[in-house]
Amino acid sequence: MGETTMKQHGGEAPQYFIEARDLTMHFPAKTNGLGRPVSWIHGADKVSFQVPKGRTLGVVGESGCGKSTVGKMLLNIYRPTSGQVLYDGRDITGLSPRERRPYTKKMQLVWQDPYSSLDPRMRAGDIIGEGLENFRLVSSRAEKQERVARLMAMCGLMPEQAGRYPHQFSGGQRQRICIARALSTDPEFIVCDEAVSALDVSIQAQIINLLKDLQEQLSLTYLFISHDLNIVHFISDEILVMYLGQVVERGSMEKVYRNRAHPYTQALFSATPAFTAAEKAGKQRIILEGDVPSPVDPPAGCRFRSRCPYATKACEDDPVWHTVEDDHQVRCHLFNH
Amino acid sequence: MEHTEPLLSVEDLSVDFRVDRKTVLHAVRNISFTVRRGETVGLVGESGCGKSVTCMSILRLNPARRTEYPTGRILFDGQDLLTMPPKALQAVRGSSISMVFQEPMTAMNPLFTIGDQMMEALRVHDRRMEKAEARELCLDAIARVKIPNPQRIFDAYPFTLSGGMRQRIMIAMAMVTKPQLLLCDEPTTALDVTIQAQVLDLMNQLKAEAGTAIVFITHDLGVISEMADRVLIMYGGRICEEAPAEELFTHPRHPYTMGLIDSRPGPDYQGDRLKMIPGSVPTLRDMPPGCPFHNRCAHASPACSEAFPPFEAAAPDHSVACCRWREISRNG
Repeated sequence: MGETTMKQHGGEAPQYFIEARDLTMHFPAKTNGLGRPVSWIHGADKVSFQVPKGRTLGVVGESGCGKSTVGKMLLNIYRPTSGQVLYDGRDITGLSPRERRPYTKKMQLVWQDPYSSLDPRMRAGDIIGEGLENFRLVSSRAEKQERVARLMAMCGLMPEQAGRYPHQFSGGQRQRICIARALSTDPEFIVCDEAVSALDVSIQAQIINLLKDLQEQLSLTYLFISHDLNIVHFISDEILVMYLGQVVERGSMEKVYRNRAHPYTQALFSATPAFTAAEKAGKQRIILEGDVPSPVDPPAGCRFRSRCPYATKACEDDPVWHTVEDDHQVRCHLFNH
Repeated sequence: MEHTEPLLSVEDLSVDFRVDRKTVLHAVRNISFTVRRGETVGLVGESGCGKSVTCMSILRLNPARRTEYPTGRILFDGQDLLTMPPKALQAVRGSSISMVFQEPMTAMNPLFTIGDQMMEALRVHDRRMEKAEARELCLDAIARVKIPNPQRIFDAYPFTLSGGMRQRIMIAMAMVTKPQLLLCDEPTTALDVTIQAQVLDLMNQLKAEAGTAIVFITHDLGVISEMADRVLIMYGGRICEEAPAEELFTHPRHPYTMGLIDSRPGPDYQGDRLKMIPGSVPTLRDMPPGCPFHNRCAHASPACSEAFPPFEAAAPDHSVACCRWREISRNG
């Protein structure tokens, strides 16, 4: 299926800032005696999306659905098996390390775990300043210190604490260090891979507000990966729902939220516990049977069919994209007519 | 035994950890609560608030050499678990009171099959039980947690199961001895939401069938509102608010509870920024005096840093430890 032709607005090519075209990542699972892979883990299959500048695309799904794989392919941490990543209209897949370097500077990552993603033997100031030195953005020690101090202040840290080590900071402060580090190279695009999941509830709100402030000030574009639908709903303009390596639904966050089309999206949203009576009312709980199947050589057809309450014979064929409404597409046989 | 009498009652419990000669950390301070038969009590709080320590104290599973219980009693069926001799306590652990841990992989022994581990719990408490009988009970327990083909799982090793399956086995293992009280320490935190929904649903069913009382620890307010009859909010080693779940979420009284509820973006949240609690969660070493929340609280008065406020009843069954709750409460 020509998935790249999905979103065309009457011929004129829309300018997207970050675009993924049929991104596919297959990891070798088992090898034969000669070291040749005989089966593959389908980490991501033909994932396509576009993010306009200054917007946030949320990626949701359960563990193993390929959300982090997509983030890593965008940043060239994984080299995609096939497909393309376009940065401001330019294909940046398959660039040589030298050609890649300016893009590396513009695309940064905030990891999930602020405990393991900081080198315990480096001081906060050096962690934040490492990128500055690497990309020769500063010419002197004093300039580096000044830039680090500014970055720290921007992220709500006290610049006087630049000499401290990571263990002397709390979890929330450590995540602020990670964000300051990501911002040090003046990026335009940041992948936040479960950036608030490891934090306490009262701290999550602080970090999310910080990310939003920074987005406004610096017109950043985010790919926000999370399993927490409430947070994704709050922060994202657009959403991508993934299941077992494939995108099953995508579109504007509000439209997908108000009108969940794919049975998996419906189940995912209904599984998120509600806590006020108003939220509980009018909410029907869909409890899926079974577990996510193995991503090793998944069978053809809709990958959700083994758990789908509406599965029919037709689901053994690959589903195609259907438009639910403007800016909202779903990939499910239920929409065939 | 009278049914109105609580199954478990924790009275004025304090837990200290001795770090070295000079330093003693107060992990839990003067908390009291009860658990009635067949009731689910939720213990909610952020990391370091003492919720797990409280839970571990009930079975005295805190590291014995470093832990001191300066005040308090934990009465279970009329007996004080804190002063019980080790042998008697061993008879309670895993039989009348069971526990489900957060991480189902590390809580199981990777070298033994699921069946071996489950049967051990039964045969430790009843040495005369025949192997065949234990096996029957275990297979029944596995079937009860809705795992197809219990025979196969019985002989399987933990690593061959998925996270959701393992957590169900943990629950089956805890329930096989038909305990009166089940302690659950973040049982679904490591699971995906659709699997979490399955496990929570299952726990509620088992509870309805067996009448087991549950102490449920979590930091997730959504999970707690689906599970708990009553909720205790903990902060800095203290309980700061206690109320029936419904009441707590509709009429929170303590500023910390309000802050927690507000900082979670609800589905219909309008607004550009989340409301947030400033500052960070204090560690045990830098716990502020008086009300531990006062230095993050928008309503703090000088009195808040002097002494921990007494509990006041805000409504029937609803008590709050805040000296200014009347002034700050919303919804009248």
